[in-house]
Amino acid sequence: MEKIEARKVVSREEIAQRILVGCGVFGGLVGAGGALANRLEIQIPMPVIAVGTVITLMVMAGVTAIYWRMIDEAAREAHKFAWFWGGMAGAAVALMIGAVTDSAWLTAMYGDLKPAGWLILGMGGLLIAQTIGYGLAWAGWWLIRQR
Amino acid sequence: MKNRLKVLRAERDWSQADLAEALQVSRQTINALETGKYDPSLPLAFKIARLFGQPIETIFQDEA
Repeated sequence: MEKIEARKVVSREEIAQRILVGCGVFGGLVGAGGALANRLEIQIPMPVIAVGTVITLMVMAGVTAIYWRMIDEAAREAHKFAWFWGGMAGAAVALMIGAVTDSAWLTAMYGDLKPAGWLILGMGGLLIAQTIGYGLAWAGWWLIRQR
Repeated sequence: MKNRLKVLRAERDWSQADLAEALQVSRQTINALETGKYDPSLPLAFKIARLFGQPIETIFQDEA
């Protein structure tokens, strides 16, 4: 039988993983920079934040498209499953927590925010819950199929 | 769906990584296919059939 020659090339999966790690590092640096600026009480002008956000979103969309084309069909299936079931379950849990959370407790924790502040806080909480659900569903999809 | 991927791979003395390389998928995908817990798309099934030089129905069998 002919033996397939193992080529010493970086697979598409590995490139995709490196892209993700690179994005994570970039996100971490941006977050750390923002936190540092906040600590040093450096006021970043709103136009800079707006332009930076738009550029970041455009880069993220492009990187996501490249990543999606690099991964194979099973990896895509895992992401679709995680997006639907993990994201939905995460949102459901977040909404249930939101429904039973006492507003006095939130005010004590975050202060008396403006409506826009509460909106951003709620959106952030929802995003975190959906991301956790996504991660768990994604890991579960692969774990079940590796045994 | 059952399949004979593991047997066909073993007959050729290929590792999962070798097969993954030949099919341009990840080793985890090969593992998921071999355990029968992931059914490939038609294009991937045809690619597998072409690689092993066998008809699809001799590699994949419906359990129903």
